[in-house]
Amino acid sequence: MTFTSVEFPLFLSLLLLLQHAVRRSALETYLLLLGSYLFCVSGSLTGTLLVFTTSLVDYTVGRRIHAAEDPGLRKRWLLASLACNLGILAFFKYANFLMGAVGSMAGTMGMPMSVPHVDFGLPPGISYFTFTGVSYVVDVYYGRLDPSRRFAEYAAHVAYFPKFLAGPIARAGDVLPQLTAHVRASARDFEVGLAYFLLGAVKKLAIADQVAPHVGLIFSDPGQFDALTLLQGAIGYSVQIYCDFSGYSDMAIGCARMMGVRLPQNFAMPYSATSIAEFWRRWHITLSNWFRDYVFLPLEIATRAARFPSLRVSANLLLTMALCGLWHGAAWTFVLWGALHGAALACNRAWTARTARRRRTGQRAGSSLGTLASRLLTLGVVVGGWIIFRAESWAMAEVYLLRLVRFSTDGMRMLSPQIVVATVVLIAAHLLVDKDRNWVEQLAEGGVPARAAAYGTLGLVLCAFGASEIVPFLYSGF
Amino acid sequence: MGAKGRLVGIVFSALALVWLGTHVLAALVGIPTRVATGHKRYGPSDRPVKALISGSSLTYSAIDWASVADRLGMAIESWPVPGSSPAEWEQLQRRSPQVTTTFVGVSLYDLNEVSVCEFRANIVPIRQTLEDLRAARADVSFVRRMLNWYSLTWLRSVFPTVGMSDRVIFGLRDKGLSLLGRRNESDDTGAALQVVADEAPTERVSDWPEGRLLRRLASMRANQGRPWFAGPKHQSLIRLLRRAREQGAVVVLVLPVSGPFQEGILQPADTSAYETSLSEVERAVPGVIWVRLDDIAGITSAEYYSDLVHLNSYGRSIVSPEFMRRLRGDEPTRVTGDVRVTSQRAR
Repeated sequence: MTFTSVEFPLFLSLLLLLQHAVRRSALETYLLLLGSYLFCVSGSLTGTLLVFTTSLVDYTVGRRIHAAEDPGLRKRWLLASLACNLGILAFFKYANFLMGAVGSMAGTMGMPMSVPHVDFGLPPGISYFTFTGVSYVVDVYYGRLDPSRRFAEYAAHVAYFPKFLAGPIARAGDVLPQLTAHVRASARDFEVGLAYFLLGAVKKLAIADQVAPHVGLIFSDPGQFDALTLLQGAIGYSVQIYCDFSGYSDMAIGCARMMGVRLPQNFAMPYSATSIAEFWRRWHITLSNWFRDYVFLPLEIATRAARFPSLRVSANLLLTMALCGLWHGAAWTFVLWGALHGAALACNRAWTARTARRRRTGQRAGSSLGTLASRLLTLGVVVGGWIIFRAESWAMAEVYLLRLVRFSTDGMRMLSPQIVVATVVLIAAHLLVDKDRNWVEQLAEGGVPARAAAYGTLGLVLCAFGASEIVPFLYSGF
Repeated sequence: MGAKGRLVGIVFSALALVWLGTHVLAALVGIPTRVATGHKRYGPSDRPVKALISGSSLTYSAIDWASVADRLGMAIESWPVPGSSPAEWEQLQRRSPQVTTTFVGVSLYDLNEVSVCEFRANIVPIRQTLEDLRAARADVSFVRRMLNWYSLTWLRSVFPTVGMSDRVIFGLRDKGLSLLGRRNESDDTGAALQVVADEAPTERVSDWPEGRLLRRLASMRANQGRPWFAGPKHQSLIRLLRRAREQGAVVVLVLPVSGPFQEGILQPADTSAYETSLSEVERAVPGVIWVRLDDIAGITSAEYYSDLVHLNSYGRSIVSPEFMRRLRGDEPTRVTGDVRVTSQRAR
């Protein structure tokens, strides 16, 4: 079951009604737990068992770490939890990739070996609930968070259905207090939740799913298209992945808000960023924060004694982002995509340091033309990165990029009205809407006619342009 | 008024706006607000109807039924539904209990389970669909997809544009162009929903620009998914033929689809699954006359099609006379089974 499944509205309505019936009682936690586990079971039984196992391990470890006074013991508990979470992730997501890498390495060293291919099937939400578990145990270890007192509450947080399949990767410190306090949704919460859900559905069904078939066609065989069509495909995929994933996040935030729970924002107009660093502060915010706090900063601390600080930071950025790429999927194209962003972040850091020095020495600061150039450069890196990210293999990505860079005219040309219209809509939204405002929250404070008109318009767009054939959410496969 | 009251007011006002907007849009671009079943009658008007055509728009674009009725000297009727399949034909067959001959047109496109008629939920009871899905052991995603059509149809009864985005998009574009005094000459109509017309168009797929062909293929791939030929439609076809056999003679026309459709959408395994499905139907319902029109030499050429699956007037001018020839038994080319087609048998 996902947010676009036929049975989801029924599931959500029933859960909201039952939650209303048992509000502010201990039953509420159990109801949420039951609902979330039903949601998990509808996806995969293996996945559900894994969620339960990691929840139990992390809850127990959290209590033990908190109770232990011996630093060595605390560390051992931490390592045990990390081994459990990351081990499960590695086993189910990366086993074939790692074995393949070992096989090719052995082959290049003149020791060819046959590598078995095992198909476990990727349990839904595995990349998200394991990261949720890791952040909880690490936060407890560093004393940033008190461990949960009740297993049911912690388990409900890990399996919480709105964020289970594809995030946001909400931390226990943000969600657990709300679940413990049995927060109750006000009429405003319900309205804002509904608006988020509607906006997410429009992004997903009326934009992402409309461009998906044409983008899929272009990426399926880039060698047969001319450069203009390939450019269209790259831009189309940029539109698709943003609307698909931010649509999912909006729907998740909306579902939770209807139940009174506030999940963190995951997107904030990322394509309006004027630097790659700003892009990552606006794109998949909860994941970039996670990698910053649990990979990059620990790396920085561990290597703080190293010489050449600039080089150290750049290397750490590159490594963090390569791992971030690998998190998206077990393929070298993802690693390369992450490394590209890591390199861009390192360049951006060097450039920022240089311009800061120039500012200090009184030289001219950036002009509006410079801002436009930064925006275009950032977009160029991002869109180019999506080509590598989306390509089915490195060979395909190479063909795609080479034909695009050489501006090949020998190939078929396909103009996709869907991609053109969706791009124009997205550009207009990024230009017209203040990127630092949250209009969904602000709209709920407006007058009744304006709100009714805004929601009615969203509903109309959904009913008129929503695709009837639904494409699975892209990030639920990562 | 309290916050809750205001919220209820806002929700109802927004819904009213959506209702109004979708009805205006539907009227503007010509989306039917009711199921588009019609009734057609061919042949002598002074004779009682003795034959029925069960088929999708492909059957009407391929065969000149008026000529067939005249040549056979019998009145033929049909209940055409655009984009329909055996599941819908089976239900509509009940409207013609008096007929003694049934013509059924099938093709790779019609029998593909994943291609669902937009009006399926209006015509086929959900209980029948559920029974067929269970019997076919359909996987969960297919069951969900089917049930999604029912929920879309229920929604469509209030908001008529739901699930009709292609028609809205292309309809609005054409309206815009006509306001500017231009017309769409070279691009898709986007109509997954084909109008069931007696006249076959003169347009040729071979004249399409590559981009248009690719867009149409992409759109069809998205709507078709992985082809499957052993689900509810397969069961409906067997039931339909059995009932038709109880009523009298049955002729199944196996219609061709274009080469670009076969190459762009299907794989060899799909074609062989289709043939297996036809063989199973043939075994399950003996005594049916099968006329293979998909084996006419060169008939899959793009020049004979007005889109990826519908024959144009050039294609019809080949297929329709050939059908009559084979029906009369002049040239019994490849007819499956041991049944030799003759006009007597058809009658």
